[in-house]
Amino acid sequence: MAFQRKLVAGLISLLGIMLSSGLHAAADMNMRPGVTETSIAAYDLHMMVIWVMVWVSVAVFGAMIYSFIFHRKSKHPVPATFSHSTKVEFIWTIIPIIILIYLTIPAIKLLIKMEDASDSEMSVQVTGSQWKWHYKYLDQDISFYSNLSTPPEQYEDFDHQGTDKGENYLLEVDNMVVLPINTKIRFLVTADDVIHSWWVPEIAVKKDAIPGFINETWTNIPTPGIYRGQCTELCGKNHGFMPIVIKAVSKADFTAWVDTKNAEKKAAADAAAAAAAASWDMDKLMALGETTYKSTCAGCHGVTGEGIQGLFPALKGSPIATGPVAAHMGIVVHGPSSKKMPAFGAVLTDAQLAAVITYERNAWGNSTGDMVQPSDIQAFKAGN
Amino acid sequence: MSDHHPTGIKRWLFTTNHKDIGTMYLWFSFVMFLTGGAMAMVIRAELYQPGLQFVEPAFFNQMTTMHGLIMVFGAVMPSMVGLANWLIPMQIGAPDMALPRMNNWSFWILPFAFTMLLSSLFMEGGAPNFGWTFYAPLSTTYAPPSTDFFIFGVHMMGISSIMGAINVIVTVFNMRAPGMTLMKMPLFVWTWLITAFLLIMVMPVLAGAVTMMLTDRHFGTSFFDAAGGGDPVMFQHIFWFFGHPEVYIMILPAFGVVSEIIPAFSRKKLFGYSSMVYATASIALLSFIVWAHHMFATGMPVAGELFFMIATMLIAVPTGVKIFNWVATMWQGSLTFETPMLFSISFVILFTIGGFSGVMLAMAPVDFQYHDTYFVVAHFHYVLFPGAIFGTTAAVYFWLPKWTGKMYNETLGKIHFWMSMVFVNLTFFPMHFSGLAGMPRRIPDYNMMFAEFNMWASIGAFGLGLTQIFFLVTIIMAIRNGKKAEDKQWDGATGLEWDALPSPVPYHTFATPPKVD
Amino acid sequence: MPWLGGEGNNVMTHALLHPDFIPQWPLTTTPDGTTTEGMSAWGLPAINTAILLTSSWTLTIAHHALKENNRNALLNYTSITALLGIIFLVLQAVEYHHAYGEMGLTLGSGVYGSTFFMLTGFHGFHVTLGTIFLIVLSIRCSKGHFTDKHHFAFEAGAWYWHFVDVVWLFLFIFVYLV
Ligand code: HEA
Ligand code: HEA
Ligand code: HEC
Ligand code: CUA
Ligand SMILES: [Cu+2]
Repeated sequence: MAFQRKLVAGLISLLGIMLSSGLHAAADMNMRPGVTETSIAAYDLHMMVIWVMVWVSVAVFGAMIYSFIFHRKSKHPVPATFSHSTKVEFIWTIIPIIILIYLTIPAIKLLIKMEDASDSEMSVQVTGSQWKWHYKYLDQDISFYSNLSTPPEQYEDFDHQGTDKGENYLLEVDNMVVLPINTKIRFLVTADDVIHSWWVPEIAVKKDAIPGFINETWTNIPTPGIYRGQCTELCGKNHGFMPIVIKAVSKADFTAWVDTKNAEKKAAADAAAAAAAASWDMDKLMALGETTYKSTCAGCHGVTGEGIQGLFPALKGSPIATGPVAAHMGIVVHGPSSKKMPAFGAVLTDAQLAAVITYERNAWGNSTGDMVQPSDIQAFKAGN
Repeated sequence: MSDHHPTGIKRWLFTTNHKDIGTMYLWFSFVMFLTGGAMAMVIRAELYQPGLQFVEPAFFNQMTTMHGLIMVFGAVMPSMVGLANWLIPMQIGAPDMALPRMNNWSFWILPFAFTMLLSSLFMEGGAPNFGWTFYAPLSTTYAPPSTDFFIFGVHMMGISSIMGAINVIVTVFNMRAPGMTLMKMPLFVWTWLITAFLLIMVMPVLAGAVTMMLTDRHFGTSFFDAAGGGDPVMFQHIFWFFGHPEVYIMILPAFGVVSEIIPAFSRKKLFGYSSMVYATASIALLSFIVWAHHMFATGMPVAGELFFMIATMLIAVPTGVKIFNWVATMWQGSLTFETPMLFSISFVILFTIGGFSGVMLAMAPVDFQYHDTYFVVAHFHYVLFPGAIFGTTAAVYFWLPKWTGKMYNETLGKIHFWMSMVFVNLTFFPMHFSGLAGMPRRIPDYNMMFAEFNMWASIGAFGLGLTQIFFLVTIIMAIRNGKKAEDKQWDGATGLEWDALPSPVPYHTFATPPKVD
Repeated sequence: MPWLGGEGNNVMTHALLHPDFIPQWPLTTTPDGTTTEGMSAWGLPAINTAILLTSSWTLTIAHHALKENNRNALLNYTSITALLGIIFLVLQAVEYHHAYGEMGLTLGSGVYGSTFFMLTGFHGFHVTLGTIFLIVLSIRCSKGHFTDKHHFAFEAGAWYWHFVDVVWLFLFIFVYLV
């Protein structure tokens, strides 16, 4: 029996350690209440259920522990003989029903509210694709992609040296979703390829992004700030690497942001047109190609162009990347017929397209020597 | 009649004996448990610290998927069928299962099915990587080539399960000893009978789902593709119509086991026998109308969400009846705490905790915050590990003396129990916290704010892994050189297997049916 | 599918993603633009329905004949049933040929084609099995394997055939008529 007592003591002290270490991180132990009305309501409901569960546990486990102590054989050698009682059985069917009703009523109210996206003041279309988010402000005519901005050096640690990780490790992006506060914003959530799910805990919004369908959800953020979330539906290899970052700003700041975005858009279009008109030399193409490839294509085809056998074809030595240029342009601009890879014709600029194709045809020993000019891409697009 | 039986490999290959087949099922499931567990070790090793240290994300997803599939279809389900094979004939006074040759088939299909599934790990593109729930289109258009092997593997397991279930139903309805009325059957038999009906209802649905996947992948159909007018969410409806009853398939037999063991060590009759039967049946019936509680975030119409929320919460009522009945069985009993009893008690406590988190998940507006986070992972490991696995473990300790005629070492058994108890909680309790803090499931790497919980969970998991090896050793030692067991090893045990049969049970039992009064 | 057309809470699905899509059954134009034709109920399918219904009837006659120990009738009607099964299969093959060749209705032409071929195809597969049962039963009848008391195999085969027949009635209603 002695060892048993020691084990129990061990168990208790372990739980103690766990709890105290948990308390260290106390802020992170529980659900975060978040900032919106609905997220706070969800948090309150969560706390309410927890307390109900705690009380039911106290009653049920209390009765059990009482039995362990007072009805053990040494204390209570002759067992009682009762084996049913319609009265108590009735009672313990009714009580849970009452508890459940008590829990359900606020849940129903909150649910109906959370699902009602009507009367929104602006709409943002959110599109998930492997493995980035695309945001389109329907009322402001702005759109952009949002990618993970944590560099691979921070997370790839296969040689066990440890890496320095930033504070928002894996929860940071290149383009944040900027939203105005005190505005009812409707999100139209969808996907290009597989199912993703758009979740930002602090505003209690989680909606699956389903290819071919649009789901609606909404929020109304009262306080400016930065709120981080992640994709929460397994969507393939880099599912763990597609964060969401919302930046809530005052309405005035939002208008200003829209203006800069629009100005940027115009400048970018002009620059792209200029770039497309120019004739590029090999070094320039390769340089732009490499950056574009690393940021856009390497996630699937690998930095060294070797892909993953059976999932993502190797581009190194691939018949398409070394064969006729038209087929290569076709796949990159329009996507393959299998739809396993997105079409990049509208995602990248003509210069980027030309550069990345050139890069693929000349990197990693694919020495075709071919150069693709932005004008070639324009001609190709026009020809289709 | 002599206790003659064939020997050597042929005994096992061609056996139609329910005891041999039961033994094979149990060993098979234990091997699968270790295999699935080894994959869990890979997962926990990678998640021990933030950063990618051991495996590539693509391989991590394969581990998650295979771990889930193997644990559910390879470890838990076969272990329950193994117990059914051993116990049902003995408990109802039948000489064997009703369809012994089919019984042989339903076992021997499994090694092939799982070889096929496991071989996909070595194929181009790797093993299935879309989670054990294999949502389309990740599992159709975007899946690795090995998915076809997965599909055929699932077909084969399904056939095996259906045959096993038919066997149980036919046996229970036709082979009961005279006087063994339905309402006198031990609860384990009842829970299995109901489980068998669940299996027959839902396994064909699963087969349909994977068949549609197959045609979507290769024959151009568009069941799950909006571009052709199909719907990926329809896949989820079909899957969960199978999947939710499936979770009760995994737990109901364990309920039965516990309902045998608790009365035995309380030395008191099971409280509320008939309400136990009705509660089990209600759980089974309700399980068909709650499936979409896994899909609250898919954008169902509000009315649907409300319906599934309320139906799901209702399941707490019959399950509560069972819990209360167990407590009432112990109340004013004369309790002792041998290993099977310890496992059963912690089953009741920890399963209840898992059930509570289930009710929390059922509340749709809050589920938006829990869904697809580690909170869900914590929930289902609490109902599966201390539930289904502890249930089976308790059954093994309880009936081992009857099966082998040898007693296990009580000290080792108790050590095994306390180690399991500590490590199970250390592994899975922190997952509640990481989930609430916002950590999604199925990710190989995470922000530092989840680091502490993950470290504890990993430490617990390694301990839990070692504990299983300890279990294996304990059992082998018992079989090899355990003390001789008595015919009625537990003074409080009741039932034909204890009262009418010696330990170990002879190869052939009940050639003439016993009379039950 | 109606959801793609904006039903329920999917107004925006329709408005933004598939504005031109018309949800109707049979679905002749899919959201990605594949077109096809619906299979009419009143050609071969109606004939096939009649054939299967007749076959159920002939099989029942055979069953009665068996109970009355009328060997000739038993053999004749069992063989006729098997023959009807074969005719059904041939006509179905003709129908499929027509669908693939002239109507552009294939497994790949959207959910309508998918469901059409999966349902009728699996049914056809069961008819094939049933026909084989019936052929075997005919042979066994001719060898005198069955007696008026002892004919479980015959009964089982008959149940199976009636089951396949009933399923067809549902298919006829849901696949062709609706
Ligand atoms: C053995 C397996 C098992 C069992 C028994 C259960 C039991 C329950 N489960 Fe669980 N569940 C799983 C296995 C299981 N589950 C798995 C594997 C998943 C994840 C699948 C995946 O996505 O991979 C899952 C996921 C899951 C979800 C989806 C979560 C999400 O993805 O967002 C939900 C939501 O409703 C849920 C609910 C429940 C409920 C309400 C019960 C109830 O049956 C629990 C009832 C029990 C009690 C409530 C305790 C005892 C009762 C009392 C003491 C009475 C008094 C109580 C009250 C008044 C509350 N489960
Ligand atoms: C009955 C079912 C069951 C059981 C018993 C377990 C047991 C365990 N599970 Fe399981 N788990 C699931 C069912 C189960 N799981 C399911 C359904 C999923 C969802 C999958 C999905 O998302 O699709 C899941 C997912 C899942 C995750 C989430 C993964 C993710 O989201 O990415 C994690 C993470 O920690 C985890 C951990 C564990 C651990 C540590 C154990 C431990 O209890 C394991 C105990 C350890 C052993 C039994 C190992 C003993 C063996 C050795 C030490 C090595 C010996 C070596 C050889 C024999 C080769 N599981
Ligand atoms: C989401 C993953 C993904 C991304 C990102 C991606 N690809 Fe692909 N790519 C694929 C897949 C999958 C295929 C195989 C398609 C098929 O065989 O149907 C493919 C095929 C190709 C091929 C044809 C190779 C062959 O031999 O078949 C080329 C060329 C190509 N991609 C170029 C690119 C370029 C350029 C980019 C970036 C601008 C890119 N890919 C980004 C997944 C991706
Ligand atoms: Cu996108 Cu997970
Ligand atoms: Cu469920």
